[in-house]
Amino acid sequence: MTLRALSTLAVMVCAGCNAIPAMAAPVQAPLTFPRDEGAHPAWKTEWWYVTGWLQRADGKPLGFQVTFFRNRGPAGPEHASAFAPHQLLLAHAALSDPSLGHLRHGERAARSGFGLADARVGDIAVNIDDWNLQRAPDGGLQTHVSTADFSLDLHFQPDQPPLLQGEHGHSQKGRDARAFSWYYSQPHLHAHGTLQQAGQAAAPVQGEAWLDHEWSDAYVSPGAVGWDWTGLNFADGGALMAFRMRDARGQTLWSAGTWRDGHGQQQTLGNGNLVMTPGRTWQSPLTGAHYPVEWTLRWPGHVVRLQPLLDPQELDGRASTSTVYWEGAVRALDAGSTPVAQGYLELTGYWRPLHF
Amino acid sequence: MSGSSANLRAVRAALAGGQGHWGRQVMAVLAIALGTALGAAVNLINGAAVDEFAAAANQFGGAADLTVSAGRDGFSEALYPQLAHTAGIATASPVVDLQVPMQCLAGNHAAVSGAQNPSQVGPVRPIRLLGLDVLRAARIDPASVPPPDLTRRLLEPGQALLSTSAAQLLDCHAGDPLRILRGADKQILTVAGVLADAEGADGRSFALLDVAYAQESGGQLGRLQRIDVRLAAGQRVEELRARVQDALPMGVRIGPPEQGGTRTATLSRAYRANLTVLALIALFTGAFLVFTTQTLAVARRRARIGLLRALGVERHQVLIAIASESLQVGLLGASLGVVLGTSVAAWALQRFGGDLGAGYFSGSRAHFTLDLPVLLTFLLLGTGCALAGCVVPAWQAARADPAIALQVQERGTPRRGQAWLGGLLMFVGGLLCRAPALSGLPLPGYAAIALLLIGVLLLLPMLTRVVLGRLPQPAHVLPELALTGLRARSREAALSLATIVVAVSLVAAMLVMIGSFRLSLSDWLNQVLPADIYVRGSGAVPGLLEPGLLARLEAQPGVAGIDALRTRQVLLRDDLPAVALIARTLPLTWQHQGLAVVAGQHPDAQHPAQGCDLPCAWVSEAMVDLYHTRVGDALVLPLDGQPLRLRVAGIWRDYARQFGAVVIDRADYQRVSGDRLADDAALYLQPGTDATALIARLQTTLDPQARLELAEPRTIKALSLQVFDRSFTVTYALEAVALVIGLLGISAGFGAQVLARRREFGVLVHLGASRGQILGLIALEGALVSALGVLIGLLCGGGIGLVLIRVVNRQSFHWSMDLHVPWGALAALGAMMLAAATAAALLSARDGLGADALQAVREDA
Repeated sequence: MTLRALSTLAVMVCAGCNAIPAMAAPVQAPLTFPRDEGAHPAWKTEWWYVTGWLQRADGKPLGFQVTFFRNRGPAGPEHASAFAPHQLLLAHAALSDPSLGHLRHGERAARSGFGLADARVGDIAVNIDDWNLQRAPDGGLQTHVSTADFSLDLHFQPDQPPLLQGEHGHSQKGRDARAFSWYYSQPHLHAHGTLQQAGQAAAPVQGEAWLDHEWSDAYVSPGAVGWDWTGLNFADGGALMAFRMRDARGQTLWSAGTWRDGHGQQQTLGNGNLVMTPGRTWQSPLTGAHYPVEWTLRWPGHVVRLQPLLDPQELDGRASTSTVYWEGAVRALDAGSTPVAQGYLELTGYWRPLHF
Repeated sequence: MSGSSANLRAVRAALAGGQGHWGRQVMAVLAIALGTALGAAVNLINGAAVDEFAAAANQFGGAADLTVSAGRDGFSEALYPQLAHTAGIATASPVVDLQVPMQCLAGNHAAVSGAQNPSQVGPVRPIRLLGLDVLRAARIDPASVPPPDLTRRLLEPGQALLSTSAAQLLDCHAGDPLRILRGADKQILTVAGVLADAEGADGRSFALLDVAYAQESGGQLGRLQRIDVRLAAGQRVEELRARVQDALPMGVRIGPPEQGGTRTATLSRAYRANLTVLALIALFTGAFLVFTTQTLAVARRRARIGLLRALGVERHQVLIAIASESLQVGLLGASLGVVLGTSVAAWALQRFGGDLGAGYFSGSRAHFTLDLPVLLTFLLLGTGCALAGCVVPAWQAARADPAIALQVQERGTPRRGQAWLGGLLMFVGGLLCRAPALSGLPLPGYAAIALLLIGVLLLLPMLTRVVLGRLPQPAHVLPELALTGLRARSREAALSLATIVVAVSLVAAMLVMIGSFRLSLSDWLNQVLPADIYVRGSGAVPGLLEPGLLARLEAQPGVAGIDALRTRQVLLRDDLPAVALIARTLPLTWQHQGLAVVAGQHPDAQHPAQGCDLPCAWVSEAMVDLYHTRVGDALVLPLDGQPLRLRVAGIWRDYARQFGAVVIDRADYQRVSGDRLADDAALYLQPGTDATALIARLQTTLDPQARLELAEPRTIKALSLQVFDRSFTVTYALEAVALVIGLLGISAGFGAQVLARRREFGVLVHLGASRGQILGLIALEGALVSALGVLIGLLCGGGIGLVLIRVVNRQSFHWSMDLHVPWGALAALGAMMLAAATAAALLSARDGLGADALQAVREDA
């Protein structure tokens, strides 16, 4: 699960994309791989979202995030121009470096076509110009992004099977049966590659990442103003995905998640047996928004506390995308304050309610 | 310092009051003011027009590092991914850029009587249709992209954004349906919004669409007009430009984004230079008037100056004193002129537009801006002219030997050296006429005109003396007195003559040039419009006449034949506008002429062109001047990225296009390009068919949507001549001002002489002459001098007119014209100037010869 309403493009094209569709959603056969790692252009919106923790040679940690969005464009098949916006693509990349004290980020947007921007069907291969996320020659994944501030080349190798969310990948987002997405995650991706930051030489990095791939016609139920999401890689091989939809009063409208322990035992969490409690808040000096950057998560047999890698991981897109949210690297501590997991936390709708 | 300025004041005070009647100073001020005003106005208007061009060209893609373009017809969109993948290019942004007629269907009209009524629609206007990929354009220049809420709408099909100016032209509002009159389909878009000037529209007229829908609405599927390029950081512009240019198809160019604007501005450059030079000639005339005034003023004050010198005043002090008088005149005149010029420019831009009605900048709106450097330049130029006018007289005054200067009168005799110099200058001017244009402008031609004029002026004293000397001695007293008097004062007479010679020359030259041009144009129009009805796409939209439509036109009852024309644009050089490639049915079967061939073979049916190993081509005169094309040459034109090889069979005269045109057979064109569309068609009717009635029928039956413009040749001819006349409106204004300055010169000269000759008149009164007789004498002298001035002016003007026709126009616009002397107009000009100058002389004489003045003289004598 990730925020897709973060760019001009998404705002532009997808105003109303996630309202409950009038027509039935496209048919989705049971998920099979690598087919369902590729694009699903019949669905309104889709994203590939890689987050993770990296370490430089000196051992200092970094958080990173690379996301590719696909939106069905407004042009129908009757439009013959090769430029017709049948599909619109957007990519976003951010880097959380505690030594900088803030996020570095960049984005790309383009219509599909001419081989310059594409989201391929059948296997994972999505690109906008030189930005890409695709199958690596060795069967793993690889990505390249470059912004004015940094350039990142990473290779990912999974050592676990995909984690199908919800019921065999059908992830319900609210009480309305039509609010759902198809959703699987790929936790525990071994990541290695190079990072070049502005004014520095290219440096080798390695770490652990998490891939989310989700496609939907409508994934937000009416009344929601934002959501809180996390994906955590546990040191013992366990993986947790948890989210909740919030209403205007900050109350949980819907929560769900999946827990797979270090032995591969999988448990679907839902309203009732997953509790996400916000803790300490941090106020952004730029936007004034209050974000609960620390959380307590409870599910049967487990309690963890989330702590951010650094507080200022707010993404201020007012200049370009007019959206503001918090998305950053977090670590999870057990009851004895021992770090047990690392992952990402996404907090949306705290600056202003998200409109869908 | 204070001592020397006190001295200056003293010298000036001693000289003051002696320079003559204040009216002459006012005239000098006026002359400088008028010249400065004209120059400043023409320059300000040109500046506004060129700025407008540059801004329009730069609005979308102006921030690009480089732009790939190929003129109006564009190029294949396959270049887009190719460029985007080129190393060193960070972003490539595709652009569709067309001129398309549009029409608003609702808005105010709906409010009046309901949108359903098809007659209640807005006006049809050709508007620039811009297609952008906003996502790419934003990466080149975020500021060029409309705000997000409007951009969002652009990606949806059927949406267009209008600039404020376009919305005004079309009488359209947000939410109105907008009809694109293009191709066979009836396309209705919705005006998603109107871009405020603050949002980048800034007075320019355009409709903004997504690039995909612009391709579809503009009939440009698969084609782009432009690709804007942003380079990767660290990439050198010239290296990439050279590398990409080599890889581009023929006729497609990569260059700086301003080049589009430059190319368009080049279109009108010669025209604008012409106007500037004319304005400068007016200013020059003004300077000459200052010269006349000051020379006379100095002559009047010879005795005073001699006295001052004898009293120990230094030479340079006299010089400075006289120069400061002219400086006053110059500063006052130039300041007045700058103010006047600014108002005239503002008014003219409002009234006629940036091209002053010449039709170069249609569809754009120039904005008046106060250009301080221009104003300052003309302030200095005006003042400088006044100063230059006083240099010779001031020098003469300062140089004069006090002893001789103190004598009452100087009998000036024209110096031989001056006449020789005049002759030499005229000779050099003649040689300059043979020189080629410099950087596309006929600068040697302008220099030749200036030398011719100065030469004649230097020759004037001698000419005056010789002509007056040769005149037979009249029998009556008054004429005899007049002639004798003038002979005695031939130097002063020459001075009075000078301004009238300059003014008449200028006006006569323009009359000869414009008269020749107009008649040549009229003949040419008759020659190239032999058909009975002409058809073209509304708003001159290219490619509107598809084969089906042409067949239907030909099948109409009463139509005997059809001649279809396809015009494409090919870029041959970076720095010049595109050349028109015209494909038409050859040999010319239906018309006897249709092509004004001036050299080589004529493409008619009786005498098929011989000796063309390649497809025959007929090039316009501009091709000869600009590309040195000759009959028999091989010519290679880039067509859709492929070389089209042609053999030049003849040269024709083309008044419609300044930058070259090539006519080839339509069959040859279709074989190479596969393009069967046409832009224009000429219909030949069977004898007895009424063209007007047929046009009416065609408009209702064949073309209910009015996508076609149908016209009879006489309408086109009338329209063309109307445009021609409008484009010379400003020239007429320049002429009028020159004439007024000329008259001021005559009146100043005579006014001065009358004052100087009061003693003489007093003697005449003593001898029994009445005041009326004395005035008659002056009028007679005035008429004689004016006649001489008008005559010399007409001759000199004729010469300058020839230079304008043969050198300046040919080099500026690359077209030849036949000399037609407008005898009637020249005679009228001569008579008018004669009458006006005589009247001016008389009036200034009356002014300076009040009854009490004569009385005083009599008592004095």
